[in-house]
Amino acid sequence: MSTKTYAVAIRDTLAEEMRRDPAVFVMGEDVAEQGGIFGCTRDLYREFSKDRVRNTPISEAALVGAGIGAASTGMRPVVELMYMDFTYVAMDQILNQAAKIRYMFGGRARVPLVIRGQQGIGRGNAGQHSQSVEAFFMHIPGIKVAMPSTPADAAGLLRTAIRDDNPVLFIEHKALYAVKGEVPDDPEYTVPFGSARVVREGRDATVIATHLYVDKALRVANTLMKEGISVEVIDPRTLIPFDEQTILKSVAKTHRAVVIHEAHKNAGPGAEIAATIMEKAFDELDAPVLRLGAKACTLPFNLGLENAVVPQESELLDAVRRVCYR
Amino acid sequence: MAYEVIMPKQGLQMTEGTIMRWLAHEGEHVEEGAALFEMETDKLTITIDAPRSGTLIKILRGEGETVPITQVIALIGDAGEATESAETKVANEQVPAQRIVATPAARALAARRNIDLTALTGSGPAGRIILRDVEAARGAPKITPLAAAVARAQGVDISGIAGTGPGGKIMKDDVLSAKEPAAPRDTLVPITGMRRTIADNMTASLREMAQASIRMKVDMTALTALREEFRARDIRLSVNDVFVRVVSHALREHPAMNASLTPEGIIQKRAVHIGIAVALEQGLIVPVIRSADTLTLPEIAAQSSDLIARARRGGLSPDEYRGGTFTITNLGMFDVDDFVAIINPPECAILALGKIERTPVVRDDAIVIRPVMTMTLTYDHRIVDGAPAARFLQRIKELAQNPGLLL
Repeated sequence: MSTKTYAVAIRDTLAEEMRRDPAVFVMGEDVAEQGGIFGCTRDLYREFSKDRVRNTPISEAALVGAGIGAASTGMRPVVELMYMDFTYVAMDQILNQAAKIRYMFGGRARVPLVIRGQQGIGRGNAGQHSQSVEAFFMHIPGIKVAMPSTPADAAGLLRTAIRDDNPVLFIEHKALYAVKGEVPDDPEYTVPFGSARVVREGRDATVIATHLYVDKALRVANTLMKEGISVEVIDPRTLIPFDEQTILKSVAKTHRAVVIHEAHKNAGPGAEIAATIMEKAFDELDAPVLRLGAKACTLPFNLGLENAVVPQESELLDAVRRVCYR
Repeated sequence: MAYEVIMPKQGLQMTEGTIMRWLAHEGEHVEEGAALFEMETDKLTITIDAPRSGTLIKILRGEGETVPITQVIALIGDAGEATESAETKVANEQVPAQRIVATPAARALAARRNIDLTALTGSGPAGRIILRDVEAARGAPKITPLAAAVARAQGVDISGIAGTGPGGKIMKDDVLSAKEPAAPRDTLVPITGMRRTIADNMTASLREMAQASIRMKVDMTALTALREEFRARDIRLSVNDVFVRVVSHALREHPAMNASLTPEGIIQKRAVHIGIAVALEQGLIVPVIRSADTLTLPEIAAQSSDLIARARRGGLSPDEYRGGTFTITNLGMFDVDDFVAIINPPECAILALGKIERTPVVRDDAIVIRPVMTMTLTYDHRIVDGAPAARFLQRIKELAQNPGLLL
């Protein structure tokens, strides 16, 4: 085990995978000498040369398109987008091409492409640089969606993503890059997709949280412990594929669930998760499944306002009390 | 405007009736006075006639439905006549069942534990019944960790297990024995109106009265001879018929036995109405011979055979099986020697007759064979005591052995 930041865990995993497999390469805006704006590719060009750590023009459509071409001809590209908001620029490439090629070619073409980058609040980057994009990609079949919340999961999930023969949208969070954690040194350490992590066990309510909200949920769980409410916290880690079994098992135990994420509440991931619980664990529910997500408001530039749009810990406290009828 | 056929009130105490069978189909022409449907009240099954002629436009209440009196059950009118308003009216008259607001988990647990949600008070918002309300309704079963593990491993539902451990705690052996294959399933016979009435009356009788019984043998030689004499003249008298006569005569002399206890006091009834218990396929009915003390034996025989025949057909009107003051019941035809009957409330006594058996008896210090019957009188000890009841039974015996005294 080594203690490293989330960003370093990503960089080290990229390096290890590039050493292991010459087909793995990185491209993106300022990924070489500058090492990416968040340092996730720092110094990789020194070891692997600029052939395998390629700077590209500022065109996400071209960047993703080049990745799809390389992937479908046998490479395993890892394309970095500076901001996940820019997936919208490349939507046709991602959802019409990458996600569909394997199906439409009858399985005879594969797209082992990783599109990675960061999203979310924390820097006051305003409406076009602070969004949470996962819901768009959950909707269209053909692309996997990973959302690591710890350095270890960032390493384990990225390795799984690179070795996967299908396109993966690998969503990091800008406010997590500096977070430190223990990461296994094993260069074969993987976290399988579709395996949720029970972060904390509890009896009375299940909180399903992603990214920054995993930590917030733990803090809320500690607070509620003093009120006699025992909260189970689960991080799905990948939204596509989704580990239903772990969540349903938990709800069968606690009979109450709250889903919380930074993405907008409206038609967000929480809607899908809540509906799944309702459909498959209806008779276990002792309260409506509650969803907490960002308000229907463009994310503001002002840091205070930015924070006001996304769910607060106090709201999660209230929601858990509410489902527990307390 | 279509004519509304309502659930008719048959007898004073009827509050609802069950439609057993419609005798006409929707769209058919029905004639006033012709049979329209069969219904069952708490007492009997009867046929109800169409109250007017016309087309049976709509049957609103189906077979098997129990409907309160005066509610509309069908519409008769001219063919093609609109029925909407009447139907809407019927729909409005039906009080919707109170919707129970309960969470799915609460409902599921209540179903597993066979708990009636309507009996619970919800502690959730707006009275929503939540899991803990159901759990509290019957606290989670106490079970040892081993028993719980065995139950989980073997897939045994512990909710129905009665524990044998301390404080009813479920032990491992309880779980294992609960796993044994269940006994063959019992048959569930739905309780129909008549069965329910009998059940309620008999329970109420035993609950409210202080019932005691005394037994006496009666030599039937004279009565048997009397019946032979009538038979020779083509009048068939049953044992019951002659006992209706004997008992009503005795009741006139013993008004304390022809009584009912009311909150105001004991009512000694002037009229003597004798009920005769008649076994039916689906239960029991007690048609009443009114003012039996004023009737001759042939009159009693004629009335009772008519009442019994109609009782078996289900053709009695409610007033023909109500208002009795004393009941005679007879199981002699089933080889019963003697038996203790339960008083038919609000009467004060019931006489149960056994079979007539040729029995060796001592007469004038010699053993002779005589037809002997055992009578058992059950009486309400709140109203009469043993001695007067015995004197009454003694008088019945005397009259039965000396029918000339009835003249």
